[in-house]
Amino acid sequence: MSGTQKLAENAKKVLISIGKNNKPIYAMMAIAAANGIFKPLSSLTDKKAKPEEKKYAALREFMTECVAVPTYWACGTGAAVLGSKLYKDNPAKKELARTNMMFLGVCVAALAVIPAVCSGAMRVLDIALGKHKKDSKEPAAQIDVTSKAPEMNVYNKDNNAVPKFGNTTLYNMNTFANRGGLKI
Amino acid sequence: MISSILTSPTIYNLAQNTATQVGIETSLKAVGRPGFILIDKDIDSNTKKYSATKEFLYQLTCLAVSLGAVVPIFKKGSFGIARKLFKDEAVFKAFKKSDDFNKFRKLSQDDKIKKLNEINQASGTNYELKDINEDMARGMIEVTSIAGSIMGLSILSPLISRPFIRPVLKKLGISGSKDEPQKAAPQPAKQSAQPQKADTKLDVKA
Repeated sequence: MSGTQKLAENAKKVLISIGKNNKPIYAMMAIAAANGIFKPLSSLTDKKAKPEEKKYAALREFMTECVAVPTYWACGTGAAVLGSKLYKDNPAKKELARTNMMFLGVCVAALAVIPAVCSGAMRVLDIALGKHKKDSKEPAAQIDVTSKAPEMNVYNKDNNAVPKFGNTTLYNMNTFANRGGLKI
Repeated sequence: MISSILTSPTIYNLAQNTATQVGIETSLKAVGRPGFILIDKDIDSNTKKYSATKEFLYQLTCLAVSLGAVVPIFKKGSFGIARKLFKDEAVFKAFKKSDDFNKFRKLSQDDKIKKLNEINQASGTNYELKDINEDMARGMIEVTSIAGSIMGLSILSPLISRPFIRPVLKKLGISGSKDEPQKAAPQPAKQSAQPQKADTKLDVKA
Protein backbone atom coordinates (compact mmCIF):
# COMPACT_ATOMS: atom_id res chain seq x y z
CA MET A 1 0.00 0.00 0.00
CA SER A 2 1.48 3.35 -1.04
CA GLY A 3 1.70 6.43 1.19
CA THR A 4 -1.22 8.15 -0.54
CA GLN A 5 -3.43 5.08 -0.20
CA LYS A 6 -2.54 4.79 3.49
CA LEU A 7 -3.43 8.45 3.97
CA ALA A 8 -6.74 7.99 2.15
CA GLU A 9 -7.53 4.91 4.26
CA ASN A 10 -6.81 6.80 7.49
CA ALA A 11 -8.85 9.79 6.31
CA LYS A 12 -11.72 7.40 5.55
CA LYS A 13 -11.53 5.97 9.08
CA VAL A 14 -11.61 9.49 10.57
CA LEU A 15 -14.61 10.48 8.42
CA ILE A 16 -16.53 7.33 9.37
CA SER A 17 -15.76 7.91 13.06
CA ILE A 18 -16.96 11.53 12.90
CA GLY A 19 -19.98 10.49 10.84
CA LYS A 20 -20.98 7.94 13.49
CA ASN A 21 -20.52 10.31 16.41
CA ASN A 22 -19.64 13.95 15.83
CA LYS A 23 -18.69 14.87 19.39
CA PRO A 24 -19.25 18.56 20.22
CA ILE A 25 -15.72 18.85 21.64
CA TYR A 26 -14.14 18.14 18.22
CA ALA A 27 -15.38 21.33 16.58
CA MET A 28 -14.91 23.51 19.66
CA MET A 29 -11.35 22.35 20.34
CA ALA A 30 -10.39 22.69 16.68
CA ILE A 31 -11.80 26.24 16.54
CA ALA A 32 -10.11 27.22 19.82
CA ALA A 33 -6.76 25.85 18.61
CA ALA A 34 -7.07 27.73 15.31
CA ASN A 35 -8.10 30.90 17.20
CA GLY A 36 -4.97 30.55 19.32
CA ILE A 37 -2.85 30.73 16.17
CA PHE A 38 -4.68 33.11 13.86
CA LYS A 39 -6.20 35.68 16.26
CA PRO A 40 -2.85 36.71 17.78
CA LEU A 41 -1.41 36.92 14.26
CA SER A 42 -4.30 39.14 13.24
CA SER A 43 -3.73 41.39 16.28
CA LEU A 44 -0.04 41.68 15.47
CA THR A 45 -0.82 42.81 11.93
CA ASP A 46 -3.18 45.59 13.08
CA LYS A 47 -1.60 48.76 11.66
CA LYS A 48 -3.65 51.19 13.75
CA ALA A 49 -2.61 49.82 17.16
CA LYS A 50 0.60 50.77 18.99
CA PRO A 51 3.34 48.08 19.01
CA GLU A 52 3.07 47.47 22.77
CA GLU A 53 -0.74 47.25 22.61
CA LYS A 54 -0.49 44.78 19.72
CA LYS A 55 1.86 42.50 21.62
CA TYR A 56 -0.29 42.63 24.74
CA ALA A 57 -3.52 41.95 22.80
CA ALA A 58 -1.88 39.04 20.97
CA LEU A 59 -0.61 37.55 24.23
CA ARG A 60 -4.05 37.85 25.83
CA GLU A 61 -5.74 36.18 22.87
CA PHE A 62 -3.19 33.38 22.86
CA MET A 63 -3.61 32.84 26.61
CA THR A 64 -7.43 32.83 26.29
CA GLU A 65 -7.34 30.05 23.71
CA CYS A 66 -4.71 28.16 25.71
CA VAL A 67 -7.22 28.12 28.54
CA ALA A 68 -10.16 27.32 26.20
CA VAL A 69 -8.78 24.11 24.61
CA PRO A 70 -8.31 22.05 27.80
CA THR A 71 -11.43 23.57 29.37
CA TYR A 72 -13.64 22.44 26.47
CA TRP A 73 -12.13 18.96 26.71
CA ALA A 74 -12.45 18.73 30.50
CA CYS A 75 -16.02 20.09 30.69
CA GLY A 76 -17.23 18.06 27.70
CA THR A 77 -15.64 14.77 28.72
CA GLY A 78 -16.51 15.21 32.40
CA ALA A 79 -20.17 15.88 31.59
CA ALA A 80 -20.27 12.91 29.17
CA VAL A 81 -18.91 10.54 31.84
CA LEU A 82 -21.51 11.87 34.28
CA GLY A 83 -24.26 11.33 31.67
CA SER A 84 -23.26 7.74 30.99
CA LYS A 85 -23.07 7.02 34.74
CA LEU A 86 -26.58 8.41 35.26
CA TYR A 87 -28.01 5.98 32.69
CA LYS A 88 -25.63 3.03 33.08
CA ASP A 89 -28.55 0.59 33.49
CA ASN A 90 -30.35 1.82 30.36
CA PRO A 91 -28.19 1.21 27.24
CA ALA A 92 -30.77 2.83 24.92
CA LYS A 93 -30.64 6.15 26.78
CA LYS A 94 -26.97 5.95 27.75
CA GLU A 95 -25.61 7.11 24.37
CA LEU A 96 -28.19 9.91 24.13
CA ALA A 97 -27.37 11.12 27.65
CA ARG A 98 -23.64 10.90 26.98
CA THR A 99 -23.79 13.09 23.85
CA ASN A 100 -26.35 15.54 25.26
CA MET A 101 -24.38 15.98 28.49
CA MET A 102 -21.19 16.53 26.52
CA PHE A 103 -22.96 19.25 24.52
CA LEU A 104 -24.29 20.86 27.72
CA GLY A 105 -20.82 20.67 29.25
CA VAL A 106 -19.31 22.44 26.26
CA CYS A 107 -22.08 25.08 26.43
CA VAL A 108 -21.37 25.72 30.12
CA ALA A 109 -17.66 25.97 29.33
CA ALA A 110 -18.31 28.58 26.61
CA LEU A 111 -20.82 30.56 28.69
CA ALA A 112 -19.17 30.66 32.12
CA VAL A 113 -16.14 28.45 32.79
CA ILE A 114 -13.78 29.82 30.13
CA PRO A 115 -14.59 33.54 30.77
CA ALA A 116 -14.24 32.95 34.53
CA VAL A 117 -10.94 31.06 34.25
CA CYS A 118 -9.62 33.61 31.74
CA SER A 119 -10.59 36.48 34.02
CA GLY A 120 -8.44 34.98 36.79
CA ALA A 121 -5.61 33.96 34.45
CA MET A 122 -5.49 37.41 32.86
CA ARG A 123 -5.20 39.05 36.29
CA VAL A 124 -2.13 36.89 36.95
CA LEU A 125 -0.75 37.83 33.52
CA ASP A 126 -1.39 41.52 34.18
CA ILE A 127 0.39 41.32 37.53
CA ALA A 128 3.31 39.52 35.89
CA LEU A 129 3.52 42.23 33.22
CA GLY A 130 3.08 45.01 35.78
CA LYS A 131 -0.16 46.24 34.19
CA HIS A 132 -2.34 45.56 37.23
CA LYS A 133 -2.15 47.46 40.53
CA LYS A 134 -1.48 44.76 43.12
CA ASP A 135 -2.49 46.99 46.02
CA SER A 136 -5.69 48.35 44.46
CA LYS A 137 -7.79 45.96 46.53
CA GLU A 138 -6.05 46.60 49.82
CA PRO A 139 -8.11 48.43 52.43
CA ALA A 140 -7.57 52.14 52.93
CA ALA A 141 -4.86 53.19 55.33
CA GLN A 142 -5.88 53.62 58.96
CA ILE A 143 -5.59 57.25 59.80
CA ASP A 144 -5.38 58.50 63.32
CA VAL A 145 -8.05 61.19 63.35
CA THR A 146 -8.36 61.53 67.13
CA SER A 147 -4.97 63.07 67.94
CA LYS A 148 -4.19 66.71 67.54
CA ALA A 149 -3.08 67.61 64.05
CA PRO A 150 0.35 69.21 63.60
CA GLU A 151 0.74 72.64 62.14
CA MET A 152 0.80 72.61 58.36
CA ASN A 153 3.63 74.26 56.50
CA VAL A 154 1.63 76.07 53.80
CA TYR A 155 3.10 76.72 50.37
CA ASN A 156 4.58 80.15 50.24
CA LYS A 157 5.07 81.93 46.94
CA ASP A 158 7.78 84.14 48.38
CA ASN A 159 10.20 81.47 49.60
CA ASN A 160 9.03 78.83 47.03
CA ALA A 161 9.02 76.17 49.76
CA VAL A 162 7.51 72.71 49.29
CA PRO A 163 4.58 72.30 51.74
CA LYS A 164 5.00 69.86 54.65
CA PHE A 165 2.56 67.94 56.83
CA GLY A 166 4.42 66.95 59.99
CA ASN A 167 7.55 65.18 58.72
CA THR A 168 5.94 64.33 55.35
CA THR A 169 6.72 66.44 52.29
CA LEU A 170 3.59 66.95 50.19
CA TYR A 171 4.46 66.55 46.53
CA ASN A 172 1.90 67.25 43.86
CA MET A 173 0.47 63.80 43.01
CA ASN A 174 -1.61 65.13 40.10
CA THR A 175 1.42 64.88 37.84
CA PHE A 176 1.10 61.08 37.81
CA ALA A 177 -1.42 59.90 35.24
CA ASN A 178 -3.64 56.96 36.11
CA ARG A 179 -2.73 54.24 33.64
CA GLY A 180 -5.02 51.40 34.88
CA GLY A 181 -7.64 49.49 32.92
CA LEU A 182 -8.08 46.56 30.58
CA LYS A 183 -6.34 46.71 27.25
CA ILE A 184 -7.67 44.48 24.53
CA MET B 1 -38.08 17.21 33.00
CA ILE B 2 -34.25 17.05 33.37
CA SER B 3 -34.27 13.39 32.34
CA SER B 4 -36.27 14.19 29.19
CA ILE B 5 -33.75 16.93 28.27
CA LEU B 6 -30.76 14.67 28.89
CA THR B 7 -32.17 11.88 26.72
CA SER B 8 -33.89 14.06 24.11
CA PRO B 9 -33.29 12.87 20.51
CA THR B 10 -33.83 16.46 19.30
CA ILE B 11 -30.92 17.76 21.41
CA TYR B 12 -28.88 14.73 20.28
CA ASN B 13 -29.43 15.65 16.62
CA LEU B 14 -28.59 19.32 17.33
CA ALA B 15 -25.44 18.28 19.20
CA GLN B 16 -24.33 16.15 16.25
CA ASN B 17 -24.56 19.03 13.77
CA THR B 18 -21.43 21.19 13.53
CA ALA B 19 -23.25 24.29 12.24
CA THR B 20 -25.68 24.17 15.19
CA GLN B 21 -22.84 23.58 17.66
CA VAL B 22 -20.92 26.59 16.34
CA GLY B 23 -24.04 28.80 16.28
CA ILE B 24 -25.00 27.99 19.87
CA GLU B 25 -21.44 28.25 21.21
CA THR B 26 -20.84 31.61 19.52
CA SER B 27 -24.16 32.96 20.87
CA LEU B 28 -23.19 31.83 24.37
CA LYS B 29 -19.78 33.46 23.98
CA ALA B 30 -21.53 36.67 22.88
CA VAL B 31 -23.41 36.64 26.20
CA GLY B 32 -20.80 35.14 28.55
CA ARG B 33 -17.66 37.05 27.65
CA PRO B 34 -19.15 40.59 27.75
CA GLY B 35 -21.02 39.56 30.91
CA PHE B 36 -17.81 38.62 32.69
CA ILE B 37 -16.15 41.86 31.55
CA LEU B 38 -19.09 43.86 32.96
CA ILE B 39 -18.93 42.19 36.39
CA ASP B 40 -15.16 42.67 36.73
CA LYS B 41 -14.70 45.10 39.63
CA ASP B 42 -11.10 45.99 38.76
CA ILE B 43 -11.98 47.80 35.53
CA ASP B 44 -13.45 51.29 35.37
CA SER B 45 -16.93 51.64 33.88
CA ASN B 46 -15.84 53.26 30.59
CA THR B 47 -13.35 50.51 29.80
CA LYS B 48 -15.89 47.86 30.78
CA LYS B 49 -18.52 49.29 28.42
CA TYR B 50 -16.00 49.57 25.59
CA SER B 51 -14.54 46.08 26.01
CA ALA B 52 -17.92 44.39 26.53
CA THR B 53 -19.50 46.06 23.48
CA LYS B 54 -16.43 45.29 21.37
CA GLU B 55 -16.49 41.62 22.38
CA PHE B 56 -20.25 41.41 21.76
CA LEU B 57 -19.94 42.95 18.28
CA TYR B 58 -16.98 40.68 17.50
CA GLN B 59 -18.94 37.54 18.40
CA LEU B 60 -21.91 38.76 16.31
CA THR B 61 -19.55 39.23 13.36
CA CYS B 62 -18.21 35.72 13.91
CA LEU B 63 -21.73 34.30 13.94
CA ALA B 64 -22.76 36.14 10.79
CA VAL B 65 -19.58 35.33 8.86
CA SER B 66 -19.34 31.65 9.72
CA LEU B 67 -23.00 30.66 9.62
CA GLY B 68 -24.12 33.08 6.94
CA ALA B 69 -21.39 32.54 4.40
CA VAL B 70 -18.51 30.20 5.11
CA VAL B 71 -20.19 27.04 6.46
CA PRO B 72 -22.88 26.90 3.70
CA ILE B 73 -20.20 27.34 1.01
CA PHE B 74 -17.98 24.63 2.50
CA LYS B 75 -20.98 22.33 3.00
CA LYS B 76 -22.00 22.69 -0.64
CA GLY B 77 -18.49 21.99 -1.84
CA SER B 78 -17.98 19.00 0.46
CA PHE B 79 -19.18 16.33 -1.98
CA GLY B 80 -17.18 17.85 -4.83
CA ILE B 81 -14.00 17.60 -2.76
CA ALA B 82 -14.91 14.09 -1.61
CA ARG B 83 -15.44 12.88 -5.21
CA LYS B 84 -11.86 13.93 -5.99
CA LEU B 85 -10.37 12.41 -2.83
CA PHE B 86 -12.35 9.15 -2.76
CA LYS B 87 -12.94 8.20 -6.39
CA ASP B 88 -14.35 4.74 -5.67
CA GLU B 89 -16.93 5.71 -3.07
CA ALA B 90 -20.47 5.09 -4.37
CA VAL B 91 -22.12 7.57 -2.03
CA PHE B 92 -20.24 10.54 -3.51
CA LYS B 93 -21.04 9.39 -7.06
CA ALA B 94 -24.72 8.74 -6.36
CA PHE B 95 -25.36 12.12 -4.73
CA LYS B 96 -24.07 15.26 -6.40
CA LYS B 97 -24.85 17.60 -3.46
CA SER B 98 -24.75 17.17 0.30
CA ASP B 99 -28.36 18.41 0.53
CA ASP B 100 -29.52 15.49 -1.66
CA PHE B 101 -27.72 13.08 0.66
CA ASN B 102 -29.21 14.71 3.79
CA LYS B 103 -32.72 14.27 2.34
CA PHE B 104 -31.91 10.64 1.51
CA ARG B 105 -30.56 9.98 5.04
CA LYS B 106 -33.85 11.03 6.64
CA LEU B 107 -35.90 8.56 4.57
CA SER B 108 -37.12 5.19 5.85
CA GLN B 109 -35.38 1.99 4.69
CA ASP B 110 -37.98 1.25 1.97
CA ASP B 111 -37.96 4.83 0.70
CA LYS B 112 -34.17 4.74 0.54
CA ILE B 113 -34.31 1.67 -1.72
CA LYS B 114 -36.89 3.40 -3.95
CA LYS B 115 -34.78 6.56 -4.14
CA LEU B 116 -31.67 4.54 -4.97
CA ASN B 117 -33.55 2.78 -7.79
CA GLU B 118 -34.52 6.17 -9.18
CA ILE B 119 -30.88 7.28 -9.09
CA ASN B 120 -29.77 4.04 -10.77
CA GLN B 121 -32.33 4.49 -13.56
CA ALA B 122 -31.39 8.13 -14.11
CA SER B 123 -27.62 7.64 -14.15
CA GLY B 124 -27.36 4.09 -15.49
CA THR B 125 -25.62 2.77 -12.37
CA ASN B 126 -26.29 -0.24 -10.18
CA TYR B 127 -25.86 0.87 -6.58
CA GLU B 128 -27.30 -1.09 -3.69
CA LEU B 129 -28.09 0.22 -0.23
CA LYS B 130 -25.04 -1.54 1.26
CA ASP B 131 -22.76 0.37 -1.16
CA ILE B 132 -23.85 3.72 0.30
CA ASN B 133 -21.53 4.54 3.16
CA GLU B 134 -23.74 6.98 5.08
CA ASP B 135 -21.34 7.45 8.00
CA MET B 136 -18.54 8.47 5.67
CA ALA B 137 -20.73 10.96 3.79
CA ARG B 138 -21.96 12.44 7.05
CA GLY B 139 -18.41 12.61 8.34
CA MET B 140 -17.37 14.46 5.20
CA ILE B 141 -20.15 17.03 5.66
CA GLU B 142 -19.23 17.60 9.32
CA VAL B 143 -15.48 17.80 8.65
CA THR B 144 -16.01 20.41 5.94
CA SER B 145 -18.33 22.32 8.29
CA ILE B 146 -15.58 22.30 10.95
CA ALA B 147 -13.07 23.52 8.35
CA GLY B 148 -15.53 26.24 7.28
CA SER B 149 -16.08 27.30 10.89
CA ILE B 150 -12.33 27.54 11.47
CA MET B 151 -11.97 29.59 8.31
CA GLY B 152 -14.83 31.89 9.32
CA LEU B 153 -14.20 32.26 13.04
CA SER B 154 -10.42 32.28 13.17
CA ILE B 155 -9.27 33.81 9.89
CA LEU B 156 -12.02 35.90 8.29
CA SER B 157 -13.85 37.31 11.33
CA PRO B 158 -10.85 39.11 12.88
CA LEU B 159 -10.09 40.68 9.50
CA ILE B 160 -13.68 41.68 8.78
CA SER B 161 -14.53 42.87 12.29
CA ARG B 162 -11.52 45.21 12.64
CA PRO B 163 -12.67 47.95 10.22
CA PHE B 164 -16.33 47.38 11.11
CA ILE B 165 -16.30 47.48 14.94
CA ARG B 166 -14.42 50.75 15.50
CA PRO B 167 -16.85 52.94 13.49
CA VAL B 168 -19.84 51.21 15.12
CA LEU B 169 -18.42 51.87 18.59
CA LYS B 170 -17.79 55.50 17.65
CA LYS B 171 -21.37 55.85 16.39
CA LEU B 172 -22.65 54.38 19.65
CA GLY B 173 -20.60 56.98 21.51
CA ILE B 174 -18.42 54.36 23.19
CA SER B 175 -14.72 54.96 22.84
CA GLY B 176 -11.66 53.48 24.51
CA SER B 177 -11.35 55.16 27.89
CA LYS B 178 -7.57 55.19 27.50
CA ASP B 179 -7.71 58.21 25.23
CA GLU B 180 -10.37 60.04 27.15
CA PRO B 181 -9.47 62.94 29.42
CA GLN B 182 -11.53 61.70 32.38
CA LYS B 183 -9.55 58.46 32.42
CA ALA B 184 -6.24 60.27 32.41
CA ALA B 185 -7.33 62.48 35.28
CA PRO B 186 -6.43 61.16 38.72
CA GLN B 187 -9.10 59.34 40.70
CA PRO B 188 -8.96 60.89 44.17
CA ALA B 189 -10.52 58.01 46.12
CA LYS B 190 -8.14 55.39 44.69
CA GLN B 191 -5.04 57.52 44.72
CA SER B 192 -5.40 58.46 48.37
CA ALA B 193 -5.34 54.77 49.30
CA GLN B 194 -2.51 53.68 46.97
CA PRO B 195 0.62 55.22 48.49
CA GLN B 196 0.11 53.58 51.87
CA LYS B 197 0.03 49.87 52.59
CA ALA B 198 -2.87 48.32 54.48
CA ASP B 199 -1.12 48.09 57.80
CA THR B 200 0.34 51.61 57.64
CA LYS B 201 -0.82 53.98 60.32
CA LEU B 202 0.00 57.58 59.68
CA ASP B 203 1.86 59.13 62.50
CA VAL B 204 0.34 62.57 62.72
CA LYS B 205 1.34 63.12 66.33
CA ALA B 206 4.94 63.91 65.51
